[in-house]
Formats: sequence, structure tokens, C-alpha cells
Amino acid sequence: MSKFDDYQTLMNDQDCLVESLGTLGRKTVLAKDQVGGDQLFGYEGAARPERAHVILPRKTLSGASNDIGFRREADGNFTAVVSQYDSQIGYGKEWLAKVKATYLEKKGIKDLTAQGYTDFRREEIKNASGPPDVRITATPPPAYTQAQQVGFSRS
Amino acid sequence: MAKPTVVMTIHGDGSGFDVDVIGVNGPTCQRIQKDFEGMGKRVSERKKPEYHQVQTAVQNLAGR
Repeated sequence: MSKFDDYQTLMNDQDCLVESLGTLGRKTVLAKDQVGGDQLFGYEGAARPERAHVILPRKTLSGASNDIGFRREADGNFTAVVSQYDSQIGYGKEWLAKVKATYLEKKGIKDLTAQGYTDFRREEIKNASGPPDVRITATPPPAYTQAQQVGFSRS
Repeated sequence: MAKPTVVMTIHGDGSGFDVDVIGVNGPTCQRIQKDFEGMGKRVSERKKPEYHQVQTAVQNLAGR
């Protein structure tokens, strides 16, 4: 018998977030203040009230862009801070969806590798309604299946 | 029994992912679930379609 579970994305790993933004071709800067976050700057160089912990500097985006940030919330999850202008020039919902999907891929492989999973395989599955889904297949650690074969588990 | 395999399908829209655990049952299955808790919030749990088909057959027999 197989089991299916559905999960909602949580972005709470800063390293994976930075890595996924890099994969999408964006250079990131970490805030000097990793507690409260650094202020973001607008296109004209003025500080804005919004703060973030991972920042895409405006000069690396476009000539009229504002900084884009990812703010770590109290629960540890990151929230994107994107100006209306930038969300209209390619950093809107579709771009954020790519960031999240890329993040999940990095985070999945990182966490599962750390847990001892092996034999990773990756494939893209066409999706009629938008970007392709990514399917990652892995083999659980031998300790998991050995415990199952002898009929006991250590919790 | 099928070779133990875990399949993680990441939705293209980045909203979440599905996990399918194959060839594993019971406590080991629950242990595998825990390995995914750091990546997302579990929002639903469902059985594969064939499981529901078996259940339907049992109900039909009972109704005779």
C-alpha cells in the first residue's frame, strides 16, 4: 500500500533560499542585521520602511527597480517583499512561484540527503496549467526498511 | 512487495508538494513523513485510489 500526503510550502531555510535565488540568476546580499533585517532602498536610493534579511539589490535587477527582499517572520518563514513596480516587470507571482519551486527542490534534496536517503532521480512532468512539476524519487535509508523487515521500529 | 521508494512531486506553481511512499507501511511510513515536516506544512492525507476501490467492493458485497 502507498500513502499520499499533501504539503504547503514553507520557506524557512535561508541557505536554500539564497541557493535557489542564485540558481534563478539573482545575486543576493544578506542583511547585516540578521535579527531585525536591513532597510530596503527604493529606485532613487532612498531608504524605505520595509526591512528584509535576504536582499536582491536594486542595481542587479533593472535601472528603475527597488530592492527586493525576503523577510524572516517570527515563525521563521520567509516572506517576499516586492514593490508593485517590480512585480510588474517580471518579479511577480510567476517569479515567486519559481523561487518557491526551486527552493523546495534544494531543500528536499538537502534534508533527505542528511537523513540518509540515496538514489535520487529527478524528472520534470509537463503541466497543462503552468510550469512543469518536478518529481524527485529517492530510496529511504536502509535502517528504515530493515526495521520494517524484522517487524519492529525504534521511535 | 515493491522496493521502498519515496516520491516527492513539487508543484510547478511552488504552492506545495505531494509525497508518495511506496512499499513501506506502518511505523516506517510515519517515520518517513517526519522527514518531510521541515519542508512544508502537511495539509492533507489521502490514500491511493486503489485503496478506495477495494473499500467500494466490500460495501457492494455487504449490500447484497
